[in-house]
Amino acid sequence: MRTHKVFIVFVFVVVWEVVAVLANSRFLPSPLHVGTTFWNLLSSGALFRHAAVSLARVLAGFLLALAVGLPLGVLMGWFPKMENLSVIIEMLRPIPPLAWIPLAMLWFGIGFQSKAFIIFIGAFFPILSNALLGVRETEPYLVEAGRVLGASDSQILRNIILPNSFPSILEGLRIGLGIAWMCLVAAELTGLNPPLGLGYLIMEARDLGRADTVMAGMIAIGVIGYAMNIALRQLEKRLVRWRP
Amino acid sequence: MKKICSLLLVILVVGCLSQQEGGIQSIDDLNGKTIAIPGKATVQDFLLQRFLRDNNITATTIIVGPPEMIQTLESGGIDGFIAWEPYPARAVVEGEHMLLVTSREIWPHHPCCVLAVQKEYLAENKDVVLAVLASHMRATAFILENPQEAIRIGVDFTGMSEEVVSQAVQTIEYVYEPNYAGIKDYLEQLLEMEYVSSDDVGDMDTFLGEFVNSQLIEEAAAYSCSNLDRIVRMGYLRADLHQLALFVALDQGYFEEFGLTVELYVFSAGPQEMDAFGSQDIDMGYLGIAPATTKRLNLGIPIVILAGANNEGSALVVS
Amino acid sequence: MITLEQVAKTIGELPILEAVSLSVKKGQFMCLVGPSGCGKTTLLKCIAGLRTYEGKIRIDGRLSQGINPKIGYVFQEFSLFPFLTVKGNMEFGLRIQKKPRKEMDDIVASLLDLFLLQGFEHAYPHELSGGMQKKVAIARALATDPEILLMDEPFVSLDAQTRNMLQKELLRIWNKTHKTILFITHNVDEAVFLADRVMVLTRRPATVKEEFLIDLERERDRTSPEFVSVRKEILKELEEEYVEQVDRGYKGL
Repeated sequence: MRTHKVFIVFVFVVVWEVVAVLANSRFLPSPLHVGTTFWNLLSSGALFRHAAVSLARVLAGFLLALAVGLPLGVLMGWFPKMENLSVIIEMLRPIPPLAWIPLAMLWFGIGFQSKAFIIFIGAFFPILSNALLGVRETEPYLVEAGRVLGASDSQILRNIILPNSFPSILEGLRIGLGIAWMCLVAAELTGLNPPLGLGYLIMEARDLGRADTVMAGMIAIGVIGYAMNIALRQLEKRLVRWRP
Repeated sequence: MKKICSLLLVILVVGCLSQQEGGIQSIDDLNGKTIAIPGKATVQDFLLQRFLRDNNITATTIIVGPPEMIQTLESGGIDGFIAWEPYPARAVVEGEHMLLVTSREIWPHHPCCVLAVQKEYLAENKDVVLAVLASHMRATAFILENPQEAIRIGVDFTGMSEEVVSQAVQTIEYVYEPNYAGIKDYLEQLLEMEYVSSDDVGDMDTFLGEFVNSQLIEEAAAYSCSNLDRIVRMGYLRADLHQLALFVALDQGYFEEFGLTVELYVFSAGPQEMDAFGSQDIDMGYLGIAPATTKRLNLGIPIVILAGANNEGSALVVS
Repeated sequence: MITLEQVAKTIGELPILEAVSLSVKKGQFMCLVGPSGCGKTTLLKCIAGLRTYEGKIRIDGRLSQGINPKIGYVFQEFSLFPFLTVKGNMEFGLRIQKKPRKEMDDIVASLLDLFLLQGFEHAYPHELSGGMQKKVAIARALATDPEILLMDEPFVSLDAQTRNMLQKELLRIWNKTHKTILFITHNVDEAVFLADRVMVLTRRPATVKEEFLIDLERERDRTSPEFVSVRKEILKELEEEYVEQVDRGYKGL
């Protein structure tokens, strides 16, 4: 399986190289060119600094979304009255996180907070709705099975609903993290302080017309996003062994 | 939802409190402050560096899109910014911020916006290019002769107040001759900062001779025609008073006199407009010399500069 | 001992149960049969305290309200907690009761013995066959040592062979534990094979239609004339309910 994947990546790079050579255009730098740029960025430590700042922004926004979205989703799923909140949630959800950028800059300026806010918006809804779904879709007979064994409401929530919703919650985290990562780049494309971040790297390279640096930044984003996804999947495998 | 609201409120308050700082009264107060530029390698970037160096000041520079500069200044995210008009004028008139120095004082007659054309388009449609160039020259002359009328046109096109527009045009030098010496000076700085590669430039005079075409101005001055019956796709920047000549030419119907229809494409910044040149979505355009030069070299987007639109016209504003 | 006096239940405008009165003696195995959709499950859930109702339900002579620790319940669905192992499922009620670790281990060990599930304590439900899952569900209900076991068509979704095996298994366990069992089924054969007494319920709204004492030696032979004859009688009673249901359906057209 692994050799297959390596092979596919290899074929992709070869096709890219061939197309780049045929096109012979600055608009499409060759993998070799991009690889050199990538390596230079990596060895100078610049890429690491950009990535570290980006990761910090993503984690802050993501953890905030987790801290608010998860309990809110669970409560909305558990208390029928809380479900009325979904009117507001369902109206806010279709608004693309990027549409919040102008307001985020007005409210939070160009610093850390406005980026974290955009990421929070992006990660919040999948986390919330997956938690809500997980709780609401817990089969009623599991709840009743707990009741006849003497469990109280809070014991049912803690010992049945939450563990049973766990796969759905984790799925929400995975989607949320993916969206957070996507929002990050867009959030960094406009005014920011300090001038660091993978999105910033791309923006600056775009303004200067450096397609190779743009691609190097994109590759860094792809690789980190891929790694985060794999890490979450491994976590899921370990924590949800009970799933078929 | 209550939770979210109160949380946001807390973040908001903390954010605002953490960003309060003292104002700037003189040039020396800039030391250690944060100043926004519109982008790396822009003319404003070099203007600020030159200004800081001349005055022996160290300050942090960060990048903020010009449309966000005033609000960022007001929210305390930055202590000042350098940008093209009308942003400094708006900050002064609408926000009562202080205009610390104009770009004229930092680098007299520095190049700024230019009129550019797709190289291939120039080769195939010289008559259209001459008509546009002639209209541009006529409009520039109009601005110099009828400043009050030009301000009215600027107000109509940008939707900004007359006060802002008249404040802005004071710092702008409207020209049509391409500023060859200024562009050369700028290119040398780009090379020095390694924003472009000397491999791409080659011999500087050869490159500039091809990149900046000064001969067409004369030809255009003598050009006349009334039935071109052509359409030209023209890019320009949103609410940029440097490009007032375009607004005047449209307002006064100069293009129509040549039988030319101008299809307008608006961009929020020069780099985007250069991308549109690259994808051949526009034939001609008004844009800043900075993206025109960096992207001409780094991406090899084949454009030729025909005329200047203005020199100077930027300013450093502090809160 | 379970005693029901005039137990009734209406959901909205729809009457589900109508004055059900019956009693199950301590240690007795009683089956309730009735046409599907007649309200059997609702009746069982009322007894378990999972539903509100009108009338009186007494357990050992005392009025029962809400969840009663003397009652264990086996659901029609595969209701094991999927995120807990066999052991975790068996312990669930004991944990709620905050039993010491040692005691829990002993109880689980003896249940594993009783149900012949040794070696499976760390398996998750999805790793077990349907029949085994049912056994674990019964063991879970018995873990807290209730006097009464309510079983709602527990073997309905199993194949015939597994079902027969589990019926025998259930009788063996009943013999060992002497629980009072109230068992719902719509399968008359199953009822006659298992029960001391069989109650036939009417179509909805359910009430008691007829009672049969099954006085046959266990283990019962499904092909013996006595077995077949009781089975026929009960089927006849049941079919009347179906016919009336269909009749009414036609008249309704």
